[in-house]
Formats: sequence, C-alpha cells, structure tokens
Amino acid sequence: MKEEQLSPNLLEALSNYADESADILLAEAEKYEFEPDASHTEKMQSLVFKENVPLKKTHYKWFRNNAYKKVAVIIIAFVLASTCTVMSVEALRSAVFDFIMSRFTEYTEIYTDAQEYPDTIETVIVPSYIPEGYQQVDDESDYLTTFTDIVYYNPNLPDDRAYLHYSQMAIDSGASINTKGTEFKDITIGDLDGLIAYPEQGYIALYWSDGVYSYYLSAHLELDELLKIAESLEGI
Amino acid sequence: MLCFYLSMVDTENDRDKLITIYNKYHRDMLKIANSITKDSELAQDAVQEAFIRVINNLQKINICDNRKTKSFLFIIVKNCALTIINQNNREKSVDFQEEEAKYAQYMTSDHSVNQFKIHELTSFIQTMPNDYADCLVLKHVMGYSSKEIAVLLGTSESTVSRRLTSATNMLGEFLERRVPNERRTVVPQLTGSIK
Repeated sequence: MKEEQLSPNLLEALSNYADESADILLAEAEKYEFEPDASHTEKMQSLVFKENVPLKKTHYKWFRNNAYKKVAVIIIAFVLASTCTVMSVEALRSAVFDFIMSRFTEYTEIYTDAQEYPDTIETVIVPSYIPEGYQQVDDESDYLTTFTDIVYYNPNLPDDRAYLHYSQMAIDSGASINTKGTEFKDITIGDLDGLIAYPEQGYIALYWSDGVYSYYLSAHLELDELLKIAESLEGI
Repeated sequence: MLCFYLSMVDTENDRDKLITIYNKYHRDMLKIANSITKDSELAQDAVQEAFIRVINNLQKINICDNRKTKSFLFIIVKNCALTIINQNNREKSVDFQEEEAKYAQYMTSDHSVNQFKIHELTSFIQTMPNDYADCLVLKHVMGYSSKEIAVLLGTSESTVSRRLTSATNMLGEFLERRVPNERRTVVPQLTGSIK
C-alpha cells in the first residue's frame, strides 16, 4: 500500500494518536523526579555540540587553552549578578546581567545559572503584538514546562523568510544556537539588558532576560519591528 | 562509534536541528525514559541511544513542526527505553507465522474508512498494541520506510513489516465489523415505515 493512498481520515486519526500518545507519555513522565548525572550531560553535549568538552563547566578553561585554534565557538552566558536568594521580582528585574561573550567555534551556548529561580515556567508570557501577515502555526506553551515555543508563519513571504520564532525559557535551562558568522551586540529591550545576534543567514535574533525567565525571538524582520514584539510581552 | 555518527551531521542545517532538539526535548525525553525504565542509568542510556538514532534521520525532521517532531522523538525514546529494559529479560523469540495482508484496501481513501469519524478511528488506534500503532505513525504520518523504521526502533525490517501488516489487519477487521452494523441501523431509518 502506498502512502499517498491512505485515507485522509485515517491519516488524521494516526496523527491525533501520535499527538495524544506523546502528551500522555509526558504527563506520566512528569510524575517522576529526575535529574541527569553530570556525566550524561557531558556525553550529550559532546554528542550534540561535537566538541568533547563539558561546555557548561569548563568552557572558560577550554577557551583559554584553545583560543588560538581556528575552530571557535561563541559562548554567551547570562549570569545573574545577584546571588541573593530573597529578592523581589522587581529587584530581579533591575538586576544587572553580565553578558560574557567568548569566541570559540561555530556554536553558542546561552544559559543562566540561577538555581533559586523557577525551574519550570509558571507564568506563560507571550507577545501581545505580532506584525500583520503572521499567523500562529504552532504553540507548545501548553506542554513544555521549561521551554515554551511559539512559531508564527507569514504565507506572503518566501518560506526561508516566513517564520517568526518566540521562546520563553526557564532561567536555568540552556539554549544553544549556531553562531557561525554571527555578530553580537548589546541591546536594551524596554528596561532590560539583552543581546542582539545577526547570524549570516540574514535573520535577527534577540536574547534577553527579566531575571525570572529568559526569552528568545527571531525573524527576518527589521530590528524596530522585532523590538516592538519583544517589548509587547504579557503574561497569560 | 560516536565519531561515525557525528560525521553524519554534516550540514549547518542538521546541526541547528540537532541543537534545537537537544534544547527543547532532551529533558522531556529523559523524563519519559525514566518513567519507563524506573532507572536513571538506563534512562540516560536510552536517551543517548535515541539521539544517535535521531542523528541518522535529521534530514527528515521539520523542526518547525513541533508536534510532529515531539511525537517522533517520544516514539523513539520510548522504544529505546523499552528495548533496554527488555534486553536482560528478553523472552525467546517466537517464530511468528507470516500474516497475510487481507485488509489493506480498508486503509485507502476510496473505501468505507471515510465513513468513520476521526475520533472513532483515533480511539481504536489507541487500543492497538503500541508498537503496531507506532509503526503506522512512523510510516504514514512521518513518511519513513520499513527499513528506516527498523533502524529507528532497533528491530528488523521483517518485524516492522509484520507489525504493519498486523496493524493493517486489525484496523481492517475493526472497520469490517463496524460497517455492517452501520448499515443495519441506517437502512430502517431510510425506509421509514418498512418493518
């Protein structure tokens, strides 16, 4: 039986089964507390980032030892300036983030290291402004507990320029991007410090944090438009 | 071995996909593997194995399709976890008799399957053995061949073919059972006063 002959109803039923099964699996899995070993994290990072180094723990040392090499990774660490465990949200929002930028190879790891802050997303925050023409095509806000992701699509644009990605991340979850040929600059988003990235693929990406969550926004848009979206975030 | 797999991630696009998958799904995959194995070491092994299998299939993953990507990854990690916990407890394999594909016609668009509501079909699929339904999803929703599914699930191509045939027959039997019932209830309504 060829795939194209499958009944549309059956195809949709199979898709629904796959979605529902995934949700059930995850819901069941959430009942169990689990933190991976450091050795697992190291192995996975080696696998994913192709570099046999535990980035999160030793990247500075690794950088010092390897900075002369052609292969270079950009590692950006959002480091929460305060180590105080009892701070108001307002105080956190005004805390100074040190953006440490080190050029390594082709990849970037972005993470914060603030264990005392929510390790899951308790308040989903989304943009209240999205430019005309974009339609939301995917929303994982309802299921991912450490990383929400919303994808918007503009059917009037070519596919390689049509997507707008927005993510909200728990502050201690890592995020990594390909930064080969990427330029970074500091930027202010509202009253928050952030970073702007100009990857060679032509889109613009923003990274910022309010001290409670980290945010990522990227699209083939003018910077002013992207900032307007970033500044429109509201809790739902 | 690791170097072999890594050498397969040879485009920037694939690398981006892999990093995105890692960032978004690694933690959930660990939770799922742990809930199945009830053993953190085995769970971590399962996730590592799942990522290696995913790396082999990065080209087919559309990272913008979150739901499909999530379903795919969860199927893979679930099967890796099940494979690992079965490894030490594997029953002697049963020599299955080859099953004839009797009901393939029920799956096609021009047959009575379209009389059924999608939720009815979904409900029935949920009652099927997971490995049967997973094979159907991987083949028809995600477009993998039997050979590719065998690699993804860590089994043989003949096992995948057998699961697909059995799944198709189960669906066919379900549809065949239901169709006459539907007709029996529909006919009197259509004929009005006929007793």
